[in-house]
Amino acid sequence: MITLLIIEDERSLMESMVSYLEPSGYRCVTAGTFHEALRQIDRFDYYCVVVDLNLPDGDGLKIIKLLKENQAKCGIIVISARDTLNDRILGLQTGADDYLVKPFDLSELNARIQSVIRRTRYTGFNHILFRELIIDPEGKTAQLNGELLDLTRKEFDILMYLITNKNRVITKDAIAEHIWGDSIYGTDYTEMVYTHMKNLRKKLQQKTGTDWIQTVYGSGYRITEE
Amino acid sequence: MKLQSQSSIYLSSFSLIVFVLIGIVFYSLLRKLSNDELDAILQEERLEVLSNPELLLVGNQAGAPLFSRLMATEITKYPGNQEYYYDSVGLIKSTGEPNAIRCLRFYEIVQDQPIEFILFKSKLPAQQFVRQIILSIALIAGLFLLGIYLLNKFAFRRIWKDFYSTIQSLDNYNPKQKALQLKASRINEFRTLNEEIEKMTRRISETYDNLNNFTSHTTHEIQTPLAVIRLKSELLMQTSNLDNEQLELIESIGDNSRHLSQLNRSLALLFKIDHQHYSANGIFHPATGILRQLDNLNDLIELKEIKLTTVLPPDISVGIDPSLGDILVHNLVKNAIVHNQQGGILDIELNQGSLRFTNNGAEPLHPTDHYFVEFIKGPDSKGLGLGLSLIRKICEVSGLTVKYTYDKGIHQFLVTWPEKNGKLG
Repeated sequence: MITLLIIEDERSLMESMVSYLEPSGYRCVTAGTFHEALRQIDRFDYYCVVVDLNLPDGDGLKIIKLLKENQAKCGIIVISARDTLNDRILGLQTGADDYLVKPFDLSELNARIQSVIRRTRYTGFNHILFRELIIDPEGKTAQLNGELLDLTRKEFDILMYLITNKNRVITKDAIAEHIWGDSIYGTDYTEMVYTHMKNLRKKLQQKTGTDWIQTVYGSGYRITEE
Repeated sequence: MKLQSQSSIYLSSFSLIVFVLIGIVFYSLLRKLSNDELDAILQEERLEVLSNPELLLVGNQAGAPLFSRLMATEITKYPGNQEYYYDSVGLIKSTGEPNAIRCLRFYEIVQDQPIEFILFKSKLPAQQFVRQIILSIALIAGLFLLGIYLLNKFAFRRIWKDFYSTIQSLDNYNPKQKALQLKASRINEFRTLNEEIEKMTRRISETYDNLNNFTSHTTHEIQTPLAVIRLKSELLMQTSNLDNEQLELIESIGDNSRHLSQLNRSLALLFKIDHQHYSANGIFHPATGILRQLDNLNDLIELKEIKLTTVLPPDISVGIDPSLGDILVHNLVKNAIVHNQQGGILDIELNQGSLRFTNNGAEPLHPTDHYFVEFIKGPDSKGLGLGLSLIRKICEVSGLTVKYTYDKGIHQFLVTWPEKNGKLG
C-alpha cells in the first residue's frame, strides 16, 4: 500500500487532507510537530511526504534534508503559506519535489502527490489505466481502444486532473487554478473552463458513446469509473 | 524665504526707521540750539545798539550804517516795548546769493522818534554745522546696517547651525530606521527641540515596527483558517445526497474563501514590496514575462477575439528585481486583456526605456490618475482592484514611471525607465 507522511501542525488541515487522501487508496501517517515527524520518518518507507515548513518546534526544511539523506526514493511536497519566489526556490533547492502554497485545493494536492510519486518511483513505462483509456502522463497522450485521442494540451490536463481525482466533485475554480495557475484570478474563467470541458466531453463521447463526465449542479464536474 | 533673509529684512527695516527718527530729532534739536545761540547774539547786539543810539543815527544819516546787520526804519507810532525773533532770507553781499538769516525786530524811541529796528545774522555757519552732523549720523547708520548684515550673515550661521543639522536629519529620516540620534546643541531651545524630535521619532519607529509585525503576522496567520474553510468545503462537496441548493451554497463558500485568500495574498505582496522585501536591483527581461503571460491567458484572448500585436525585442532588459518584474508585466497583460472589449485590440510595444500597452475598453468611471492612488474595483470586475496598486507600487520602488491615459475608447499604460536602468543582455 502506498504510504504517505503528512506533517502539519494545524490539526484541522491535517484531518481534511487525510479524509480526502485515504479514500484515494493511500495510507496516511501523520505528525503534528517537528519532533513527532522525526519519530515517524523511520517507521515506513514513504512514497511521499507532505510537509508544512512552519512547525511550532522546528523548521520543516530540516525534515526535508533528513529525508533526502535517509529516504532517497521518497517524494517531498512542501505546503506553506510562504509564497514568494525565494521561498519556493529555497524549498526546491533543499530537496522538495514540489511546492504548494496554502490555501490549496485537496484535488490539487492529490494530483501533485500522484505526479511526484510517478516521477520518483516509476521509471520508463508509466501508464495510467482508466476504464478503456490508457494515459501516458509523460507523453501527454491518451489512447482509447488503441486509438489516440486528439486532445489539446489543456484538454489533456483537465482529463488527467479529473482522473486523478476520480469519483470526486472538482469545482471549476479548482480546474481553472490547476490549468492556468494563480494568474487566472480576476479573469472571467468560467466560460474558458466550460469551453474546454465541452470539447473534451465531445471528443470522449465520440469514441466511447457515453459521457463519462458528470456536471455537478452549480459547482463542478466529476468523472466516474462506472 | 530663508530665515536669514527674513531676519535681515526685519533688522534692516527697523534700524532704518530708528536712524531716520534719530536724524529728525537730532536735526530739530540742533536747529533749535543754533537758533537760540543766534538769538542770544542778536540780543547782545540789540543791547549794544540801544546803548549807543546816537552812533546809530549818525551812522544812518551818513548813509553808512555802523552796524552792517541792522536796519532801522522810522515809524509813526511806537507799538511798545516788543521784540520778535524770526527766520528770513537775505542776499549775500559779495555773491548776491540768497541766504537764510535770523532776525530780531524791536522798537525803540530815539530822540522822540519811534524807530523799528531789525537786527539780522546769517545762519550759514550754523547750517553747515548741522549738515555735517547729519552726514555723520548717516555715515554711522550706514556702517551700523553693514555691521548688522555681516553679523547676521556670520553669527546666524553659527547660531542656527544645529537647527539646520536637525532639519537635515529629519529630511533623511525614514520610519524603517531606528529613532533619530541628534547632536547635542549648546543652545537650550535647540537642545529641547532635538530631545523632543528624538522622542517623537522613537515613538514613530516603534509604532511602525508594531504595525509591520502586526500586518505581517496577520496576513500570514489568516491563511490557515482560510485554508481550513476551503478544504472543509471541498470535503463537504464530496458527501453524497447533496441537493442543488446545498451544492450551490458550498460552492459559494469555497469561491469566497478563494477570493479572500487571493485578496490577502495581494495585500501581503503589496506590504512586502512596500517594506523592501525585494532587492532593488536585478535584471529582468520583460519580453519573456509578457510572452509567458500571453501564452497563459491565450484562451481568454481567443474567447474575447482580441487582435493582438506585439513588438517584443528579447534583448531589452530592465534593472529591477525579476520576480517583481514578472508580477508587473503579468498584471499589465492581465489588465489589458480582462478590461478589453469583445474584438478589441491589444498592442504591446517594448522599446529601450519604455513599455507601452494600448487596448480598447470601456470608459473608466474615474479620472485615470485616481486608479493608481486608490483601490478601485470595477462594478462587474472579478478582480480585487489591487492590480493597478501593485503596478504602481512596483514601479515606485523600482524607479520606474507609469502613466495611465484614456482617450476615445483607447486605454494606454506607459511604463518608462531611465536608459541606464535598462541594459542590453
